[in-house]
Amino acid sequence: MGARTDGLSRSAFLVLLALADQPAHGLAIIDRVADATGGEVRLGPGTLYGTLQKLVADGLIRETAAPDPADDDPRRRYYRLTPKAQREVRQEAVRLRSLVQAAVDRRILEDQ
Amino acid sequence: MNRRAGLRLVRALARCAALAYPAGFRRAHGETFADVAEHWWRREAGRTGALRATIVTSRLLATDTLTGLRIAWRRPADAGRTPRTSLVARFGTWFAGGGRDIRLAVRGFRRQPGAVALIIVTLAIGLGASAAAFDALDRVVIRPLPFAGGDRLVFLSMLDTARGFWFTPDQDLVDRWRAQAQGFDRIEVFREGSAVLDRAEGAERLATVAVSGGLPGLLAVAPLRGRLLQPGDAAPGAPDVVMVTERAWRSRFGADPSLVGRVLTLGGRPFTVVGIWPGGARITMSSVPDLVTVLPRGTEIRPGQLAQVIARRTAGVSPDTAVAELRALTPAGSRAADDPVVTAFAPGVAALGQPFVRGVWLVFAGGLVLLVVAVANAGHLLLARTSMRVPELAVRRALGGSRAVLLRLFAVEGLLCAAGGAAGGLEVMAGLERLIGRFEPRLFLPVAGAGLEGRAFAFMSLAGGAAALACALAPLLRVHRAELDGALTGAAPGRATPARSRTTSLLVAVQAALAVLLVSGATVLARSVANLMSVDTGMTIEQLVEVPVVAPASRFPTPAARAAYFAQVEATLRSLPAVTGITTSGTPLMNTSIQAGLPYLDGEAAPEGDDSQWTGSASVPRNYFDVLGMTIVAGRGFDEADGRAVAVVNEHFARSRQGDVIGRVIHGPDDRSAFRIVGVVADTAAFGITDEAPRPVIYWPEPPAPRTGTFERYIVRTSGDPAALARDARSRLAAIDRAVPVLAPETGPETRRRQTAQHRFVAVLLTGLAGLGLALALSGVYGAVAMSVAARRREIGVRVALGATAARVRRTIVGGGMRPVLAGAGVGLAVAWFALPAVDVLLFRVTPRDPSSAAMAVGLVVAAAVLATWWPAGRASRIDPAITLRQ
Repeated sequence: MGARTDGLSRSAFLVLLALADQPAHGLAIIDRVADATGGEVRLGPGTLYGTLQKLVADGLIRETAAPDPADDDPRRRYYRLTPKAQREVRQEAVRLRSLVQAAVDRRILEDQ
Repeated sequence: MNRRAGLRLVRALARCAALAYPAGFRRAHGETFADVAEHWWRREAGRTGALRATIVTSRLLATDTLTGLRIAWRRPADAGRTPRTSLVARFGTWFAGGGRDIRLAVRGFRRQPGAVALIIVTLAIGLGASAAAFDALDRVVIRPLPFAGGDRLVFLSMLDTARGFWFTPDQDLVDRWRAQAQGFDRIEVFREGSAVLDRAEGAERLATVAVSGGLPGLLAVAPLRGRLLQPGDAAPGAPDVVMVTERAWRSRFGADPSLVGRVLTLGGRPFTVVGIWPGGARITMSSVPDLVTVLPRGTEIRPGQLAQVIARRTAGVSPDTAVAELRALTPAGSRAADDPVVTAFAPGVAALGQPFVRGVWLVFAGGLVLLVVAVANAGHLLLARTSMRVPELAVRRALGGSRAVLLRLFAVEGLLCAAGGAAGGLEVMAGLERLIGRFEPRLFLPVAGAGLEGRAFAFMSLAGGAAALACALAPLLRVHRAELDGALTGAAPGRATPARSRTTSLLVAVQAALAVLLVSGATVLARSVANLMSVDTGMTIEQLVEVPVVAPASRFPTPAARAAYFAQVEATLRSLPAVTGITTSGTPLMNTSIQAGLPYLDGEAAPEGDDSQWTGSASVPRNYFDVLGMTIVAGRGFDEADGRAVAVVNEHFARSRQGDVIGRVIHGPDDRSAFRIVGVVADTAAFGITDEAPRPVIYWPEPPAPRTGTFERYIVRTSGDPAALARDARSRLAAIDRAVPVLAPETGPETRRRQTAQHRFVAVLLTGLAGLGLALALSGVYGAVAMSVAARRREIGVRVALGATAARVRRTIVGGGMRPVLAGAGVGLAVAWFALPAVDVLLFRVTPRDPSSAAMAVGLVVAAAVLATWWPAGRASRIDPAITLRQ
């Protein structure tokens, strides 16, 4: 999961996407990412926490309280997006959409 | 797959993966790694099963581990603050600090060159001697044959099951096997022998091995130079060719590359040298041949000549099947109860004889013991050196050096010492092998490759690594945190702490035990050799010289010419100074020929055929007993009037019969011919210097006839120096006819030495090892006591101030130093008691648990240890309390 200069890294984008609806803890993020990619992307612990740590340091996510107090396990840390992250996710999505559009224009996806 | 095992595995892997990440990250998330892994595993297991889940999760964790390593690798060691880097990175930093430590260690070594040189020499002796011993073992016992398909090569031999002896299949049978046996794809023959090489600088008898034309190809030997012998060389009418072995090429021809293509005169016939046989490719271990010749096809096996049949099993055929097939191909009835038996072609173990192999193992064990003594000693010296450095180490520790950093310093020092020791060890090994090779050339073939070959190198590296580890760990035993901390607050450095005393005593005890073990082994063997060398041969062997003389038919074609030549030889020998007698002998000294069965007297029943019994027999000239110095104990020797029908028997036979045997008629064991006994001679070492029970020997008078053969063996007796006579004889005989090869005479003492060489060789080696071991152990004892005296100066000063006399101080020190020695000696004695019977087969007229040898060994070690403690004890007794207590 190397750093990318043009926008967010893939794992960072996927984590931010997983947190877009509502806050989640690490294991839930793993599941959401796996589900969102059809099981194609499996985040290992090192990748997950490395990405989370970097996103915290970049001010894109922040630790938060459990959305449902009944779920509050002291070992779990919940994360939510910052306003900055919402902007960045949108920008990244727009960038990806323009890339997909370019592919469609070149009829790359026709036989799919 | 078991669910619990799978879960446990992935959790463990997750913990390992966490180790790859930087410390801060690990602290924050390390705990959750296992939880995430478990989460993944459960998620996958629910869908695909436990095994697949374990695989998927493991792969995930492997990727994560690599990611962690990449992060740790990229992260700079921020301003030398190690705690934030990962364990891997910390190991890297720690390891990289070794470069600095090398400089530190070298600087430290320069300050104490004597002590360090002693450590390195000690290790060099231990490593070199043990590596040489291992190399010998490897070459003789362990190493597989250097031949292609060596594991499928076997000797084929026939066993006469009724009478229990082995014999060689005859030519017809071998030809039949070759033609029909499917289980063996090649069957070849070789024969050991000798040939006289005639050169401008003199003639000499060389050991040969004659091989069937296909043998070199079967063994897939690569010639060192030139080409191999080929089947074509064995064809009728092919030119005579020979290969020179690497050993002879180096020792006799100065490794001359132009030897290939030259013509050598062997037995008067010209042979073209076609190649150099590589030294490592031993066909046989029972001799070291100089030349390899080829056997003419179809006549490889001749009756009466000892040939060996070597065959290669067809790939994929089991040994049992192959042998069963040979048995089926062997016609029954050609010899009663014939039974072809295949013996495994072990690398020479069978040919060398069990005692020799046991001796090589023994020497290897001795080498290992010496290595342990050397390493213990080096560790001990390093320990002592560390004591002197306590203040320095304390400062390093106070400046932040952790125990790991000190370990690195010690490891570097240990490695440097071991590397120095190994480098010196190579020299020691090469020197030892040269020395040993002179005694026993069979051990270190080939000459060219002597020294480090793959396995010996591996042994040396392994032993060196172990030595380095021991040298690194020994000082660490010494570094107690409390002591280091105390060193800076003014406590005396080098104080004898109980822990250190224990370590030192243990090392001394181990060395003493091993020294006693080595010395007692060497003592028993030395006694055995002394017994061998003082065996009464029953003749004046020390004054005899054996002079073999050839009269080649090419030079002396007629019997008359040969008789004239031998007459001239005899006259020349007789004219030499100090010669007091001259006779001839059909066999070499102490190598009387034998006949199966036992003789019997007239009136006795002929003994049953029993091949385990045999009788010596010799047809001898009339002056034989006189010249050899054999004692006639009854009757008389032979005189000129005796015809063929008289005999002289040995004392053993005479004593086995009631009454006087003189005048009775004896029947020989083979053809039952009858002889009248005219005399009895004292028993001699007729069959060599062995421990076997005496056997009957019958002597007949040789009919007086001119010497018309092509070979005679003269036995000359001298009142002077036999070696001088041998030299004279050789040069004077050479002067008779320059065209006739003259063989080297052998003196009686040389014969005795040759016959006892194997025993002496092992004894000398083990004695050498024991001497080295003893010297190392003593230096260990000395060092321990000297160190303890240095550390206890203040205490001794107090004792002296309180009225202890010098004698009392000395007694205390010697007593303290001797305690571990005595304990070790006791243990060594016990080990020797159990271990030495293993060498029984090497001993001659001494038991392995010989009490006097054991006592001598313990006495030697203890006495030497007392001497080693005496000197430092003397220094202690001269301590002046007024000076010591003020310091």
